[in-house]
Amino acid sequence: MEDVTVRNLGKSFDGKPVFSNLDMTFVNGEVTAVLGPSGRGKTTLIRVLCGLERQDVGDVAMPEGIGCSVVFQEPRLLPWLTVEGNLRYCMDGEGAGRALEILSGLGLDGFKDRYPTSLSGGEQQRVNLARALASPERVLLMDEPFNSIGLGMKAELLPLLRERIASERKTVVLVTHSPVDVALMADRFYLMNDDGKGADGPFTLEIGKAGRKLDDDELGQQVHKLMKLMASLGKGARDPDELK
Amino acid sequence: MRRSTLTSSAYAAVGVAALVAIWQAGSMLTGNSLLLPSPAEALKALGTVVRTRGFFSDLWASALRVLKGFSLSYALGLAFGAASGSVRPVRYMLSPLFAALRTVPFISLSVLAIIWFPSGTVPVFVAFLMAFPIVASDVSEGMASVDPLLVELTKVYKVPWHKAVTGLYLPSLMPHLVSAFSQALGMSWKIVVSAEVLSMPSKGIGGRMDSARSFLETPELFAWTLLLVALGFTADAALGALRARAFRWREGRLWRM
Repeated sequence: MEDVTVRNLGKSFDGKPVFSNLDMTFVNGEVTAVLGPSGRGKTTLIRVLCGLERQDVGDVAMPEGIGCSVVFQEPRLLPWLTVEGNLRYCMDGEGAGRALEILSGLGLDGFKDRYPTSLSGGEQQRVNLARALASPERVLLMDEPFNSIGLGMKAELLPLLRERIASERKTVVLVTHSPVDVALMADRFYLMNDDGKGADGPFTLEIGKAGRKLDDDELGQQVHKLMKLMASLGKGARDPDELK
Repeated sequence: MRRSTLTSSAYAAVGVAALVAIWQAGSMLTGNSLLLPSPAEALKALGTVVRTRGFFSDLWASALRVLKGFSLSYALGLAFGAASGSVRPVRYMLSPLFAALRTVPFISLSVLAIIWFPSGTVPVFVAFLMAFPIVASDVSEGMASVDPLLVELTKVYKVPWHKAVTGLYLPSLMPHLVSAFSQALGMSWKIVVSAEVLSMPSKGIGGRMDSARSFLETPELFAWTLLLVALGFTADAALGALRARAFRWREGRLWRM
């Protein structure tokens, strides 16, 4: 079994629950999104999955010997190392080479000798993305990965992401507050409940495994459906069929 | 960059000129070279001092003590500072020691050391004890200032420890290492010479200054002091160049290693 699953997961800080009763399956070879507004413990979920925090209750089942790479919310680059030095810090030369290739696909060709202070926020975030994408680790965790990244760039990312998922048999978890990101990238998604207890889902998305870019109309419709679903769930009505 | 270096050294020259002018004015007002010799007299005395027999062996004896005291304090300060910065109980256990060493008057250490050690070892021992807490607390602070987000990055990507040391910890500590270096070195010179005046080893700048005092050779006292200041300036300048090299990444430009 290559999937990553969490069962009855709960975590609180200083007695204040961040989330509880989370049951989720992150299917190998797919992008599973966790959608919810800020303050629902999405970042904490990522931190528990990659082992930076320990859950209070429940289990995380990670296949034996499989590690994580993370796209952090912040770029987290070592300021005294060049872009290439940063990539080489986190992985071997082969991985760093792969990351540089990904970077040139993201419009950062010839940036390998630049220092992070000379990059814009969006450029730094692209290095963060490329670092995680190029890593050979099989589980890819993304925490609001598209901060200061434009819609066009997100669309460019999709084929790259699909290529990496196929070639490395990755399991991808995308945590975000943005229905647009979910519509663009995800195969399935969970919706974190307002009261912090559990999550609804998984819901499947049409975009599916084809990995093709949506045109503007399709994207608009997807986002519209997602917003409607979020609104209806917020009101207590539960009708996942709404989203076909 | 070049422009700002030029202007900053120009300002420094103005500062030096002002100090010399005040000194000159003071010596003209007192009109007594036993109380306050003029800059010219001090320079002349320096010329004489440099030419006296045994000058270099005195200078070398003191420099060697500085080197010993400084290296000892830097090496142990590094080890203790790193331990106290990364292990909380160690930090709590060591903090009273550092606090005590920072406040204890150098004179009480010197007097004790004179009882315990041969006269040549006293300055080394005292310099070590005075410089050690400076290095240790600077390094300890540096360890605490390592960006926790980057520590997490290192964990998540399973960066091997030797890569983490050279890639994350050393560069994070660098500003503290450099400042500890210059402070400990300056402190060692001051303390070694002062302790030599008290412990009277057969060779050393302190002994020469003490005999200049007893013969009321004030210009010679100034000459030795000038020499120490010049040594300090040189060390600072060398360190400044090193610092500029170590922190060029802050410029954010296209640099190649």
